Amino acid sequence: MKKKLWSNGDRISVFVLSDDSATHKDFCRKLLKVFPRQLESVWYRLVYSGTGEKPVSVNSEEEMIELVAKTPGAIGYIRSENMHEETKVISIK
Amino acid sequence: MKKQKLFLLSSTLFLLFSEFLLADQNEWFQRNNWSAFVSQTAIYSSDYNFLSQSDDKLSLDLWEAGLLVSTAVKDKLTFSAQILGRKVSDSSGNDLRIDYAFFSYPIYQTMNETFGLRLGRIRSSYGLYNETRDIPHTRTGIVMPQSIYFDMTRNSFYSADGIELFGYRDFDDQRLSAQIFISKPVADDDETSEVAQLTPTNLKGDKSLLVKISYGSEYDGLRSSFTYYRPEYKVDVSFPVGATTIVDKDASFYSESMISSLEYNQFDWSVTAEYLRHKFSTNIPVLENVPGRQAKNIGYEEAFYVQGLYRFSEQWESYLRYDSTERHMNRSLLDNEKWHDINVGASFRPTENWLLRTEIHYIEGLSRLLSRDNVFSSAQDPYWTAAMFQIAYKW
Repeated sequence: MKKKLWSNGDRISVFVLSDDSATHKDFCRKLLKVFPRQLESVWYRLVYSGTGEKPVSVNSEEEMIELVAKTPGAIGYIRSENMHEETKVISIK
Repeated sequence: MKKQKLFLLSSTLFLLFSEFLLADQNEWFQRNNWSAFVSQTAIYSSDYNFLSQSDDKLSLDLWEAGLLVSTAVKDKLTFSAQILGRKVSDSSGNDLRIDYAFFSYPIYQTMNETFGLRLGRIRSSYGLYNETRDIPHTRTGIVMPQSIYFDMTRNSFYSADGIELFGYRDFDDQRLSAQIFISKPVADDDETSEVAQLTPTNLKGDKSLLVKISYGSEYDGLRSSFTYYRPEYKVDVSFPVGATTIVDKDASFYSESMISSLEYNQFDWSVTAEYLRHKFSTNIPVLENVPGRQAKNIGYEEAFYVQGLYRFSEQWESYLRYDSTERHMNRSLLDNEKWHDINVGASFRPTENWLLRTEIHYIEGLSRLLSRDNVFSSAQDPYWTAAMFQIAYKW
């Protein structure tokens, strides 16, 4: 979450779904094992100390797919049933 | 000091100019972000004024507001600035200041390692929470643990003008990071009032060193840090000794803090503990010639807090904290040499932006009260209470 570059040197652009999204809540709880508020607190500690940037918030999974597909070095998350051919899937074990 | 300012300015201009020469101009000032927050707190306290004129009455003195901007000046060179307003009580006046305004540049950066420098007015990364202690949404409780994050000399612990070297390396999901911050500390009315018995004038920050090492994960498992911080000041003093008044225009004092911090985070609970060993020293050279007086005086105090936090749901959380400070003396401590505060609080976040919280403090001791807001005497009750409510909003 705090990383700024990919291994090839490209800048990482992070996209997240809005706070009230069920996918965002599931992503936080099931994968990161935090409440969304905790994740947000970590971002805000970076933002308000001037040492980091908050991820870009998007309103829907469709918007997430569109922005991740057209932004170099972007990463985001969607439900597996909404996978899209223009994006690359990273599996988390 | 002019040399220091000139160095900061010239270094900043060098970074900007060299980036400009190398840059495609349409890539300047990308990724502009801004955020803001505002809060209002109501405090009622028995017996003393606690961060407000709240002695036996409800006070609305305490408010906070901030506006921050950050931008990628060019590629990896970023600039961040925040204006902070925080009024603690009538006696402190409206405190509006440039909290930080600095350039940050990673000299060496890979996916897992970064080494860089920051230049300008930079937040002191003292302990786990000093960098964001004024932002309601990033702290636990309305009042920070006063043992470690005291408000008596808050400005000298907030931010300072200088240069910071920073670096980190990631090991899976753990990060090892280090910072060295060399600066000129801020000195204002807060610092002056804390040495009021010396009738100080012309108080100036001299130099300051902060070194911090931290390791761990921000939200899952353990994170730890160790901070060393030593701000030094120069001051003119005058005070009576016997029938004469001592005047010394070459006096100085410093504060030396070593903070060890641990935090363990799980999904619905967190435990945090921080321990401070604090040394403070005054040097008044003219006293070397005064019989029965010492030119150098050194004092110590130990402080710590332990805090448990439980998250009931997305919206609700509650904490319990024990906060303790004691001076090292070869006698029983006076009331203004100790601080034992048991406090409990709850917060509710109905939406991403709004925050409502309340807390209650039961305190023995007076050592973390602002001396400019209170008149102390040996006849006063060392046991007292405070209750407070806060509403905050962020954009």
